[in-house]
Amino acid sequence: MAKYIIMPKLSFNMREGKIIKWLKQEGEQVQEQETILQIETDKSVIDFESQISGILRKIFIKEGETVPVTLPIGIIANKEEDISIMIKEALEILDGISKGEEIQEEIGQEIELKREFLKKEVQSSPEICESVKISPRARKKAKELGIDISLIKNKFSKKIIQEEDIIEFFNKEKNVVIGGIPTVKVIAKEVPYSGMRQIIGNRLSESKLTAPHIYFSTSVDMSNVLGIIESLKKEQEINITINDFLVFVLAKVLTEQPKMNSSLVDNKIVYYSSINIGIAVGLEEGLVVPVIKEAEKKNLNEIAKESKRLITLAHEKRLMPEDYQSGTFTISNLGMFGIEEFTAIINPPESGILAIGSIQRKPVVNSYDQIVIRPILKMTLSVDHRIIDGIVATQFLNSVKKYLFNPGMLLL
Amino acid sequence: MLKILRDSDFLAKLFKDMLKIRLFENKVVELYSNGIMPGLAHLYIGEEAVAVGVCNALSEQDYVTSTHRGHGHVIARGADLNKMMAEILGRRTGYCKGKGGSMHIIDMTKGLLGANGIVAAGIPIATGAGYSAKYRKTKQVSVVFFGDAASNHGNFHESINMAAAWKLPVIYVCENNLYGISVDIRKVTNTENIADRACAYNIPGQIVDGNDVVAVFEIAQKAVERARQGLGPTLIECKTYRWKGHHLADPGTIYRAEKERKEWIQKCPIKNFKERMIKNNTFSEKEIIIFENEIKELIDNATEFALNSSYPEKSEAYEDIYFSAKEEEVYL
Amino acid sequence: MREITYAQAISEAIDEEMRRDEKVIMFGEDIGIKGGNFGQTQGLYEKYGEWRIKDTPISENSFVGLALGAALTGLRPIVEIMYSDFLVVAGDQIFNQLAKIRYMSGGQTKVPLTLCTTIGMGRSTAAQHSQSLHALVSHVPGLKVVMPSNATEAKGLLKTAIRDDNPVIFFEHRMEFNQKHNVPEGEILIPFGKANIVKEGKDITVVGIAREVSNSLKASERLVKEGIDIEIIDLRTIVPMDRKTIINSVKKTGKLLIVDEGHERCGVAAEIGMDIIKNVFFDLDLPIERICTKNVPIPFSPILEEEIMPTEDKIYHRVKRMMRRDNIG
Repeated sequence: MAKYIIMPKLSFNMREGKIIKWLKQEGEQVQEQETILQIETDKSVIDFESQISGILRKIFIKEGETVPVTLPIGIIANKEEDISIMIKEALEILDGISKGEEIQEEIGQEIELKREFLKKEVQSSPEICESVKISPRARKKAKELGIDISLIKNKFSKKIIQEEDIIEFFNKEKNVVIGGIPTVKVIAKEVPYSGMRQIIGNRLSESKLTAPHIYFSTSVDMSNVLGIIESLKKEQEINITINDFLVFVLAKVLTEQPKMNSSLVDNKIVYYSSINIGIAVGLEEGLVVPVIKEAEKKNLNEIAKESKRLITLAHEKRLMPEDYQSGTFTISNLGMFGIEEFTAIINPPESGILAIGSIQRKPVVNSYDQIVIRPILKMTLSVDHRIIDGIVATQFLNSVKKYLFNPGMLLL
Repeated sequence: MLKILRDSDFLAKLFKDMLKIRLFENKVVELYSNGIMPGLAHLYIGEEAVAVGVCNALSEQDYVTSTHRGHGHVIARGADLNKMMAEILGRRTGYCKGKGGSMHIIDMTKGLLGANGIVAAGIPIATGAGYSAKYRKTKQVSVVFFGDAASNHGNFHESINMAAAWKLPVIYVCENNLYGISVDIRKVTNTENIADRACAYNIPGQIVDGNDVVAVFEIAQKAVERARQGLGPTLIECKTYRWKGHHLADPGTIYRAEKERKEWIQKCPIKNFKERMIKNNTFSEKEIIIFENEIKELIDNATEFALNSSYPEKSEAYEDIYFSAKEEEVYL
Repeated sequence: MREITYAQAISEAIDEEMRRDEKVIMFGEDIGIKGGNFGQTQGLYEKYGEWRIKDTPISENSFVGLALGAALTGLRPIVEIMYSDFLVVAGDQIFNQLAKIRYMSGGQTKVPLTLCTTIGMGRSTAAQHSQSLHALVSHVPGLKVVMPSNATEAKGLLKTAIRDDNPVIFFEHRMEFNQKHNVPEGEILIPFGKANIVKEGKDITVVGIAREVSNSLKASERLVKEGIDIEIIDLRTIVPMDRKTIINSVKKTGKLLIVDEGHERCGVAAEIGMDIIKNVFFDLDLPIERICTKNVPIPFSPILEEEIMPTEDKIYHRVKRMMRRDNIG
């Protein structure tokens, strides 16, 4: 029963994977479905589960090393089983690669390699099983959710992909791939439109095509907010960002105006009692949206800490599904990049997203009819007009503005 | 015999009934040959005296089951010629709305429980009608017509056995026309007469000249009387002959000698009866011609009615399957 | 609530209908003094006499035809054919006569006739006394086909059958005759064409026919302990068939298993499966499965019999396999 552990191919474009951590050491017992190592792919860090029970007899690839997909990285076998031939074979292949033999980019070659393993009665990991079947119901669900099933086919370790798998996939992935930032067209090179990029694209299209967007923009004088942030920094050495403050204010306003904290799902308008605010974080590979859960129960300090933790994880590509699931409203802030204002596409199935521009010092007329220079923030609210009317959106945006202009009201 | 020979109205009816059958069948030949009538046409020509003699011995409430060669029985039972003609031409005005055709004409208003496409299938059905009459104590009788070939079917023996055991008011009328399609009854059966089989069930078995309408009538009348009195069933064998083949596409010449056929045509039940009536001065030749014209007109009218009738709507294919119309859609 | 056997429930139904309507009479072998081969007519001969409870000779085709003649002339006969294997002896009258006479006559006739017969393995009665030939009659337009699953169902469906103005073939299961069930006192009439969801569930739709309903229920008791929640539908009548209830259930679960003691080939399971593929293909999450009798004549030896027939254990394992998505496709 000795089986190779193989670097899984988790997306069509995945060529290699990096071992982040072995959770089991050589000689340790491994259970079926138990997580034995963490692998970094081109998108994120994935927990890799063993498909069989046995003893982790051999590790070929150490932590921090990268190896092409479909190649052996370890062996699981019974205690007494002779695995010397398997070790020899694996090392021959791996040696060839490490000696600089080029990995053929052609898919045909890759399949050849894979076939070699199959011949030796090595169970190829089901993740790369070519004969995976997708039930009609799963296809229907995938279509409903805007998921391109051919792209995710290899993500499943089952012989038949069923509806529940699609839903699970959707729930895992949906907040990774929100829309929110207009793409910047800089042609440096051509890469295939696939993988995470395509999933993001599909979801953006789905959102824009199914939810009629309506936009509301306003400006607000941020003098008082900036003053508070500054004073807190001096007094408490707490580093609060403008974004943290915005999340705090949004939590307050969403509590007061729960209509905005809703989704249109299967002909039902669902209102959420918890306020989970997603923060769009731009990475090189695309957007991720970690979520600050139950923001309404957190004070400013807690929000700042959670936000910092999530953003760090995002940059390290170590977000776990629970970190980016269950958002109810999203904020997308491009202020730090100097964008004055922009509109964002709603992260489905949420009903609104707030796009934040940069703070600009501008002349304004104050209540004494004097022209003064103030730090002005422009923000644009996008709402799903199917379930949110203009009046609701306006009240919402005005409340946000009110609290930002006069943060003292937050104490009332 | 003497008694009924004095009743000229009744004799006229016997004559007209037989003539109706003959002219109807002649019209069938014409319509079928011209490609107007679809399906199969099993002709009764030559056997008219059997149906007419038996049916005229029945009351209106009695039951009859018939065969694939059923036009004669249906007409003798007094069926509406228009509806019959329309049915065999597949029109919606037909007895069965064009769903049964020549072999399946049913007229429940006349106790006619159906011609039948399956040989011998009507025998148990008529027997059941007899059981029903006995159970309901209505004094109705039930008559089943069948051919010589059907007398070799299990239904014949099974049914007569039950009717005999339970003394059911059923009259089994065998039209022995000597051939089951092409097979000579004498080649597949060892009893000389079908009626001889009655003794196996301990019931009367009568043989009669099936081309003599008066003889058939009289023997049927006795059997009906016996049945009504609760004395049980009778088997009547009518010796007769079909002039045509098994059906219109069968010339009937390969398996039968032409000489035999000609001899039987000489024994034409209608011609012989007519001659007898004229000889006995019951009717003049002139009167006969009036009868003939009357029947001819009936047949022409029926043909016209049928040809002027429309075919069923396609949707009617999905009707009349189950009793409750409302539910029918569900069952398709 | 009182408990009576399936056989008692049947004789009670006939008794009640005979008392209610003197047009109801019965023909069959050994239904008189013997009280039915399986006790289904116990006590009725004494009560209604030989003209209403009529012992017949061994002449299946003719006594079915006899009943048809009675039905056409105003009575409401019940005919008993001891084993469904003998249906083919009466084949002409069933397939060509009573099924079709209404249609052939353009709707002139009605045939208020109930034909009771028995199906089922489990008693080592071999190939001529064990078949479940309900698919055979379901194939022929014009008949209604009823498959009671327990004593209460048998009583309620039989009473409906007797009152129906169409020919109904009523299949009793031989292994059920001595099974007791809580049968409510008083009138029970179960309409045709309404399947019964005997257990709601979310994981797999299991359509059971006749005895396979109780086998499915027993399998379910084991499955529940393992967290598997099947939905069990008692089909009740094959004709008319309540396709809607099955469709709605499969829309919910996405998975369908049909259990039927008829032979697998061209059986009722195939009909249901085809219907589901036609109507809710895009809701299927797994290929449709069926457990039927294998396509071999019924063998005599209990070991062989057990091998080819649907059982509680086979249902249990098949459901488990389906949940594992194993051995599929």
